[in-house]
Amino acid sequence: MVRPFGRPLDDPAINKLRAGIVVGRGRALPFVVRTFLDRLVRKLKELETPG
Amino acid sequence: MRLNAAASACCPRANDASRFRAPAIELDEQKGERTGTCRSSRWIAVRRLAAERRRRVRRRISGGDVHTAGNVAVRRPAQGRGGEADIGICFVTRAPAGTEIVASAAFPIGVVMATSHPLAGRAQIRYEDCAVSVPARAWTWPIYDKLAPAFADFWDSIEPRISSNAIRC
Repeated sequence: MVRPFGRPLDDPAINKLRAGIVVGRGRALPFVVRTFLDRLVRKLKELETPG
Repeated sequence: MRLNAAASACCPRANDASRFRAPAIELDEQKGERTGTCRSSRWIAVRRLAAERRRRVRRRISGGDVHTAGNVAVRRPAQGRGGEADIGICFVTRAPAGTEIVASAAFPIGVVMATSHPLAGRAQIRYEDCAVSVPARAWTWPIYDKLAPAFADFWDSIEPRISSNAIRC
C-alpha cells in the first residue's frame, strides 16, 4: 500500500489550526442530528487523546 | 512510499480525519434513528470527499439521510446559519457569526512527500525549502490567507509537479 510521508510546516499559525464542529446558533436540532452530533464530538475529541 | 515514525506529526491526523466516516456509517445501527435526516457539512472525510468535491451528495443510510455539501470550508458557517446543513466541520479560530462551536481539536496540516524526497530529512518544512524542492500540491482554503499570509504567498509561487485535491493515507 502506498503511504505518504509527512512533515509539519514551520509556520506557527498553521500549526495552531483547529478543526471545529459548528452548528447554527439557537437552532433546535432534531433527535437524529443531536445523536449524530454527539458521536462526531466524541470522535473529534479522540483526535487529541489518541489510543 | 512508506510511513515511518517521523511522520507522526501530521499523517496520523489525516488518517484520523477519515474516521469521521464511521459515525455516518454507524448511524443506522442506532435504535430510534431509522427515520430522520441529518445534514452535515464537512470537509473532513479526506478520502471520500475527494470524489465529492464541488458537488452535492445525498446518501441514504438505512432511513437516515446524511446530506453532505462540497468541501469549500468558507461556506460552512453560511450553510449552518441558513439551515442548509445541520452540522459543519471546518477549521475554526472563533465561532463564525450565527454559529457556535460545539467542539474543536488541534488539527495542523503538513507536507506530504515520498521518503526519498530531499525534504524528508527535515524536522519541519519551510516555505522556501519547497520553492526549490516542490512536494505534491494538495488543496487550500481561503482561511489560510488569514492565518498565515506566508502560506498564501508560497502557494501562489509554486509550480507543482502533482496537483490533487486529495491525499491518500
